[in-house]
Amino acid sequence: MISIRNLKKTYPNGFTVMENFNLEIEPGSFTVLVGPSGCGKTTLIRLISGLERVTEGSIWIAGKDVTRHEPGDRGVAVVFQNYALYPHMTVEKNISFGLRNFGRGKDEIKKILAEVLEMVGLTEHAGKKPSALSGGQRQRVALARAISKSPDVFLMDEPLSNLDAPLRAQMRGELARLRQKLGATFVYITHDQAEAMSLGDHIAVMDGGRIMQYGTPEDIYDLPANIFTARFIGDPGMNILPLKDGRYIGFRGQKVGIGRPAGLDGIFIEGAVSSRENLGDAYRYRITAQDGTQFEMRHSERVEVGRHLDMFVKRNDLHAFDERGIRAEVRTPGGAAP
Amino acid sequence: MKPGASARSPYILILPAIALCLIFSIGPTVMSVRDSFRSVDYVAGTDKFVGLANYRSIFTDGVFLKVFGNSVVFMFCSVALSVPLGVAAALFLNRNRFIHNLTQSVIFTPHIVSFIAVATLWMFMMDPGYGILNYALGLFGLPPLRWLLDPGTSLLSLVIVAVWKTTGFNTLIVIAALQKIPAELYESARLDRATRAGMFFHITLPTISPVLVFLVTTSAISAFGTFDIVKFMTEGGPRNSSNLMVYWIYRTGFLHFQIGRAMAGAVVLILFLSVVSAVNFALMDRRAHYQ
Amino acid sequence: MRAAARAAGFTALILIFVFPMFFMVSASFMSRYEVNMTPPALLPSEFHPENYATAWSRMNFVHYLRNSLLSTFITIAGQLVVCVPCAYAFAKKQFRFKKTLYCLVLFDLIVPAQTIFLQIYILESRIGWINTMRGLTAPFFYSAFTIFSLVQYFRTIPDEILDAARLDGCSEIRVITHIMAPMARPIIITAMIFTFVYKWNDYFWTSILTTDEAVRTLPMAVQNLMPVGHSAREWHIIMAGNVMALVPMLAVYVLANRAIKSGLIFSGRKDLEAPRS
Repeated sequence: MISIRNLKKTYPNGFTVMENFNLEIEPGSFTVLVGPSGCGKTTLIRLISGLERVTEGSIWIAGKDVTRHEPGDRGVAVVFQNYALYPHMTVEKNISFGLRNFGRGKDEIKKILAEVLEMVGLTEHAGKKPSALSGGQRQRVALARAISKSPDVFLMDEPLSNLDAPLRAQMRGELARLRQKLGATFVYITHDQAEAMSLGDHIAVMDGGRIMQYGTPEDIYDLPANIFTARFIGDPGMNILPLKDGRYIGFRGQKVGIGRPAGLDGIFIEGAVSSRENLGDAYRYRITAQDGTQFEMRHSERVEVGRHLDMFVKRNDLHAFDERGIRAEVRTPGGAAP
Repeated sequence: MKPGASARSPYILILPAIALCLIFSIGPTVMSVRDSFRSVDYVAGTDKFVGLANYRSIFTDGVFLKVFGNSVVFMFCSVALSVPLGVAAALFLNRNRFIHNLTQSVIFTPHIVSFIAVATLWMFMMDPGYGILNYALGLFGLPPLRWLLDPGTSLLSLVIVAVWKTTGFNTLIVIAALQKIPAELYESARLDRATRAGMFFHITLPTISPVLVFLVTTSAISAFGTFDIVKFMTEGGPRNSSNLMVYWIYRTGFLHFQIGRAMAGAVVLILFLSVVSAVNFALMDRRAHYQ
Repeated sequence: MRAAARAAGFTALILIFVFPMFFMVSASFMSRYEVNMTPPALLPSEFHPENYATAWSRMNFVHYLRNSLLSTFITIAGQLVVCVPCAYAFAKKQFRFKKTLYCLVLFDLIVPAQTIFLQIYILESRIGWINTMRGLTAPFFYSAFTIFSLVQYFRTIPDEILDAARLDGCSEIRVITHIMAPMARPIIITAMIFTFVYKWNDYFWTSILTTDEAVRTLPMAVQNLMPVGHSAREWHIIMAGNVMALVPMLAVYVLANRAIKSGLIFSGRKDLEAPRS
């Protein structure tokens, strides 16, 4: 559906955000772009939508080269983090403004309006201005405005991050339903890895203008391709410990066991508890290993701060990374920590 | 829209303004500088380079220096009166009751009255014979003044008129700034047991200081642009005691056709204003963190 | 004690700022004898509304009113066309030499046009613009003060709203006319009121750039009521002229008073903030 080929973007001030960037997004997929701020995810959406000009390379949407098309002519709709509603227009006008610009007929606009307002449940608020609406309602107006154009592609830039937690969970559900109904392609930005995992059928983890890993949520969580992805995805991110030979070993805090079971295929670690947080169903521990390295452990058992522990991680739960931080085979059981 | 059009469009959007600015502002300024080094006579059609002769001429002729001095005094007095008065009135009127709102609107009215109306009105009130101001002085047992007709008071009289006309504007701007100060600032200061004076000096003044710098800068610059009241009320007299720069340029260049000398005076004024603005904008930058 | 101080403050403010205005109106109804009386009369002993009729015909009021309205509205229209797009570009667009060009445009804030009027006069006489309506208005289509105030406000409008408009298929011009201008209404009105005040009351430029009564404006008409030299001045007629020239201005001010105040208090736009709810 979206094909990005050899993309380069350099800003007028000479800063190059991305170079040799390639990405294929399948029709009907829900792709989440996730990464820390400044990783280039917002730039990517702005390039796809045409709000920014491409320096080199091309962008194809639905089989057409749209690199030189104006933002309005690409068959995309964007939902912004702060909703970007026109404050001087009513809900109805907010939605119909674009339709009128595209020369849709009066009756057609009326029909579309009724449809999308119904879909987002705002029919009775049609005559209000955005200032009279709650945050959640504003977000629905923004969605309705996007839907009204029946675009091939929805681009969403952190659309839920201005909402409080319960509302965010509810809107996530609504988005998933909407997607089923519309069958369009979604590209969704977030910096929240949990949101990425729960919404996307594909995730692109980005950093420094590059895609660190592209795959299903399962791939990304279970088989992180590099240290960056391993650390970024999961709550908490993966513990990464350096080995003496310059390579790295990684494991998730949830996979750390307490004790010294005999005949274990894996590694043993000794260390002291340096802090504890109660998460309700488990405790989050900060552990200082004997050699001074620190890592995180999640465990349902309560342990006092300062206590020395014997801990272990099974071989199947270990991830190895080479000197450049790229995923490798796990080779030396037991050779991890001293 | 055609491809590439939006890359050019910022320039298209600013083109009319830039063009007008070049034609009616930058161009004339450059020409002023040029003509200040020349002797131009449009009647005879002569135009020749004379170096610094015009500057030498105006600086040795006592009138220009006196007028320049008058302008500096006029600027200092009018700014030193109209800005603090504006702040005082703003503090006083910064309440949302009907009477305050009404007074706010009323003291702004001199700003919308033309300088000609202001000038005629004050000439009427400052008349040495039957003027109401002298009558008011008499009520307090003070001797009458000759106001505009006395070299000792003519400049002061113009200052009074200018301050009367501009204070209301300053008040409105300061009130706007005051209303932007979050109430939490005062509440937390009250919890810290700040006095009224303490609150003014530690919260109000620092918060509105960028606006004050802006007001001082613009009032100073417009004080130097004063023309109407001079021409109308005193014609610079008596004996140049109330003559100000723009009127001097007008007389020299427009009435006496000494273009070169008028332009030399204008260049001195432009340089002086640039320095005033530079100092103020530097101050404004230093104060910018308050906003 | 505080109440007394407050009352004294009010009295002082009103005396200083209101009394002269009141006196102008009062004197405009006095007789020729009364305005020159010692001690001066505060109120007319009998009303002389015929002063207005006298001023009206002596000033040729309708003629100058027409010129004032014409020059003021042409200037406002010109500023809307020239300054609004320019301010939009400087506030919201990225382009090369932006900073330099912005400094250039703001040059007038530092050097007021009065200092270079002689060159403007010379320029206009060369191109034959003296005594024309275009000569009296075109130089003021560009105003550094207007552009500066608009840029300050435009900057507070979130970029995403403009992006949304572009995605909605707006051209730059349509973004300005349908999004930017309506959102910035208070500040545009305020800036145009200031332009109105400036142009309506302008005496300086009218006296420099025109010699022909055919294009001159109201302040010149008031001036024409003043006899040359120090012969007896008919203050009652002059004050009536002043009041008449002020009335249209006052009407605009009263109508726009609210807009001016909200335009000056930039932060008054609650609808631009996204609530976290």
